[in-house]
Amino acid sequence: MQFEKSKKHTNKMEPASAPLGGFLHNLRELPRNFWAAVFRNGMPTSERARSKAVFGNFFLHIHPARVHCRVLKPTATLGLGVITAALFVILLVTGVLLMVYYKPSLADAYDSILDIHHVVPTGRIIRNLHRWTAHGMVVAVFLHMARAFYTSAYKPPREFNWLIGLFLLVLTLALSFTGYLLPWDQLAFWAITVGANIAQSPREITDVLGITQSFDVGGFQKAILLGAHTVGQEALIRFYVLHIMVLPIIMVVIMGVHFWRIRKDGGLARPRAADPPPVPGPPAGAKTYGLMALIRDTSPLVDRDLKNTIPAWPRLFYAELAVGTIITAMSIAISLWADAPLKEIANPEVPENPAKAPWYFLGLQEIVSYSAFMGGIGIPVIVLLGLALIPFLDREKEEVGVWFSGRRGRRVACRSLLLAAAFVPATLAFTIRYGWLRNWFPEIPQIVITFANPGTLFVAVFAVWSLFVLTRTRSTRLAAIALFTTFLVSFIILTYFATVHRGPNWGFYWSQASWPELHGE
Amino acid sequence: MNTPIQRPTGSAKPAAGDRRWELLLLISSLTAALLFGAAAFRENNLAPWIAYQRAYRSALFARATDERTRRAAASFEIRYYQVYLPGLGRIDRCPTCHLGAEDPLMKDRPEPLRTHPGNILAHHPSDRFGCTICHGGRGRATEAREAHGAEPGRPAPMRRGDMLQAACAQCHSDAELPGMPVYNLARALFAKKACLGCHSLRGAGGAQGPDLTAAAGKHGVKWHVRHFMDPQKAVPGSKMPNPGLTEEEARALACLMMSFTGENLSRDYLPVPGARKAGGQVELAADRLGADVPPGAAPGYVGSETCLVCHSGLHPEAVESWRNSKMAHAFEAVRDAPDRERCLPCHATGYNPATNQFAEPNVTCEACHGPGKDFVPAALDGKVAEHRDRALANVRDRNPCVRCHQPHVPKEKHEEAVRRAAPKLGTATAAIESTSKN
Repeated sequence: MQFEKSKKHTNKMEPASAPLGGFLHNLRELPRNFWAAVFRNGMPTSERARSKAVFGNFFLHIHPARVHCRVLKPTATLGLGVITAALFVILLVTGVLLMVYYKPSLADAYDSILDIHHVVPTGRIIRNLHRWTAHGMVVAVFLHMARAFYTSAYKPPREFNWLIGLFLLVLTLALSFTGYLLPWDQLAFWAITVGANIAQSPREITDVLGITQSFDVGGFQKAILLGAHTVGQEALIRFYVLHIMVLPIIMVVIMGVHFWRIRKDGGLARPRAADPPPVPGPPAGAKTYGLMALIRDTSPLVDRDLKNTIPAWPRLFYAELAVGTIITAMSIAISLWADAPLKEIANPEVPENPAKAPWYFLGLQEIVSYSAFMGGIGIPVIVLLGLALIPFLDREKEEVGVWFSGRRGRRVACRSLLLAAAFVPATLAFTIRYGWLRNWFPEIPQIVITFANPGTLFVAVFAVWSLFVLTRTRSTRLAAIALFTTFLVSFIILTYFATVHRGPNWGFYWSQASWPELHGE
Repeated sequence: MNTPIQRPTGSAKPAAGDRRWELLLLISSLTAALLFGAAAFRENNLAPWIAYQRAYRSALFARATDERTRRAAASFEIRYYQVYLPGLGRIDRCPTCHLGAEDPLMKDRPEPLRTHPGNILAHHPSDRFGCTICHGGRGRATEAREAHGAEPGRPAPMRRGDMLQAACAQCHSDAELPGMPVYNLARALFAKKACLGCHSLRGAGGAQGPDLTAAAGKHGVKWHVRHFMDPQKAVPGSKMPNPGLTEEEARALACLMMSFTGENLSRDYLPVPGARKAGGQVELAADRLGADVPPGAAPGYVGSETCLVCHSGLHPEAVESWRNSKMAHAFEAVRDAPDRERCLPCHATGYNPATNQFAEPNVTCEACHGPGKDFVPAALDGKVAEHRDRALANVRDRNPCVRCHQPHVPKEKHEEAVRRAAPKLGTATAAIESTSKN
C-alpha cells in the first residue's frame, strides 16, 4: 500500500524523491513499528489476551497462563522462593560488574578489592551489595526450605522438586564458600583453611583403620579443593573458576528446572480448602463442558479449579517483581549502611585467632572443635540424607499447603522447639563448665570423641525424640516435623553460639568486647 | 438451581487487585532506584577527599597573587592523586587528601593539607619512595579510617610518633642515623642482646626462637613492649631469657620489630647497594658487637651482658653459681686501689696494659673463654656447635685459670702484698678479710 502510494507520488514529482519519500515515511514510523515488533499484542485487556501474553513470551511462560488465586496470598509461601531468586539475580548482576575489576592472583586480588572499594566509581556499593545479598541468599534458601517442609510441599508429586531444592541449597553454600576466598584477606584465607582441613577430616577415620596410606579420601578431597597443600594461588584460581562460571551455570540450569517443576507438579502446594466444593449444579448431562485445561492432580477438577484461578498476567508478575524490588531496595539500604568486611591481606604466617569459617558453617565448626570428621562430614551427610529421604519416608496423604499440617503439627513443632532450645544450650553450658571427654581423660583416643561428642549427642537425642513422637502419634509426618524442628533450632542456636560466643582458641566469651588483647595496638 | 458459582475472595475484584500490586511495584521500584541513586551519589560525590581538595583549591586561590598563580589554582583538578611505585609494588593514594605535602607554602594549614615536616622528603623524594614505605597504612585506600589502618585488632597500623623510626630500619642497617634516637638505641640493643643467637632474620641466625622476618605483622607495639619487659608473662612457657630492659629500651626494640615486615624491598631502594644481601641484619648485629666496650680495652671483647642473654636461660644454675662466686665481685676489692693497674689483669676482664683500660670489671665469661668476637658471631649465625667448640677450645688451650690462680703464689703472700701496698686502704683490706672468711 505504502509503496504504491509513494510510487503514485513519484510520477507527479521529480523521480529521485520517490524512494526517499518512502524511506522518510518508514523512518517516521520506525518507533511505532519497532514497538509493535517487540510488544506484538499491546497491553492485554481480555482474559484470553492475558493468557496469550504469558505463553507467547519466553520469559513470562515460566508461569502458566492461569494460576491459582492462592499464590497471591502472602502467608502461602511468604514469597521466600521469589526472594531467593531475586537475590540470585542481584548477585549475578553485581558479580559480573565485580569481575570487570577483580584479578584472581595472589599479587593482585586483595589490591583489586581495595581499588573496587576506593576508586572504582560506585564500586563500593556494588561490592557491598554482592556481599550482603550473598549472605541474604543463604538465609533465604534455608527459610525457603523450612517453608516447603512445614507446608508439606515435599509430598508427591513434588518429591523430586524437593530433591532439586536440596541440590540448590548445596549449590548456594558452595557458591558462597568459593566466593568467600576471593578477597584474599585474613578472613578469607583462614576460613578456607578451616574448610580445607574439614575436607581432609576423613583421615580421622582412615588413620584409626590404618588405611590412610592406601586409601586417603581426606587428603584427596583437600587436594581436589586446594590443588596444593595449603591455600594459595592454585586454590584461588579454582575457587574463582567455580565461583564465576561453573557453579553459576549449574545454578541457573537447576533453578530453571526447579521453576519448571513447580508448573509440572501443579503449581504451589495448596490445601483442599482453597478450592471450595462445587455448588451442586444442574444434573449431569444437562450441560456440556469444553476442555479448558489439563491439570495434573489426583481428581478431576471440573467446575472448580478454573474458577479459582486468575490470569498470571499481570498480577502475579507485578507481585513477584514487587517482592524482587523490595528485596533489592532492602539490600541497597543495608549496603548503604554497612560496608562489606575486608581485613588485612592474607598472611599464612599469622593465623587468625579464632579462625572462623563463614557463619553458615559455624554451627558445624562448633562440632568440628570436637571432631573434624563428625562436624564437617558425618553430621552434614546425615542431615542431607535425612532431608533427601523425608518425602520417601513420610508418605502420609495429609493435606499439603497447610502450615505444620494443622494444630497437632504445630504442637509437635512447638515442643520440639522447646526441647532443642533447652537441650542444646544446656549441653553447651555443660561443656563450657565441665569440659568434654578430652578434658577428663587426656589420653582418650580421638576415635571415641569422633563418635561421642555434643554433635552426635544432639543427633541421638533428637532421633529418639522423633521416634517417641512416631510411636505416640503413629504419624510419620509429625515425627518428621519433630526431627526437622529440632535440627533447625539446634542449627540456629549453634550458629549463633559459635558466631557470638566463641573467641580466641575457641574459648567461651560473652562478647567480642571481652576477648583478651592478642596483638596489641 | 441457578445460584452463581462462589468466587474465592482473591479474585473478587480483579481490577482493584491489579492496582494494588501495581502500586506496590511502583513504590518498591522507585525506592530501590532512589536508594541506589543515593548510594552512587554518596560514593562518588560526597567522599571526604573531595571536600579536602575543594579546601586546597580555595587555599591556592587565596594565596594567588599574579596571573600565573591564579591560572595554576584554576587548573587544579578535583580527582584522585596517587603515586605509582612499581619498584615497591605499591600505589599510594595519600596525596588525594594530603595535597600540600610538598608545597612549602602550606605549612600553616591544618592537616591533611599541611606541608610535610622536616627535610626527609629532600633525600627521599615522594615520587620515588611514596608514603606508605615509611608511614605504613593502606596506600590504596582513600578514606582516613582505612588508609590509616585504625580498625581494631590490626597488628601493624600506620606508624606514628617515634614508632615512625621503625621505617628507617627497613633499609638502613649499616650505620647510625642522625636524629633517629629510637632507631639507634634499638640497633645497639639488637646486637648487645644478641637476639640473633636464638632468632632468625631473613634466613640468618639461630633456630631456638621464632623467626623475626615478618614479626611486624604478628604483634603490635604494645604486645612487644609487654613481651620484652616480661617474656613469660606475654607467652606462658616461653624459653626466652628476660632481657632486662628499661621501658624505653623495650619500646625501642618493639619499634625495631615493627620494621621487620617480611617484605623484600627492591635492591634499588637500599642505601648501600646489596646491604641487604641475605643476612644483612647479621652484619648489623656483628658490627655492633662490643660497641659498649671502651675502645682502649684489649681487642675482641664484647662484654658478658651479650653472653648472658642466652646463657642465663640455657643453664641458669651455672650462671647463678658464677654470680655468687668471688669472681663476679673481684673488682670491688681493687676499685680504689692506688696502684690498681697491677690488680686489673686478674680483677677485670679484657685489660690492656698499654692503655690501662679494660673491657669489663670483674672476672667474667671472656676472662676464661677468650674475646667474644672470636666465637659469638658464630652463635648469632645459628652455628651453635661452632660457637660452643671454639669457646671451650679457648679454655682448654689457654689454660686461663693459672693466669691468676698461680700455685706458686700462695694466698697469704697475695694478702700480704695487698696490705703492704695499701695499709690505709680500708675498703680493699676489708674486702679481702670478708672474702677470706668465706
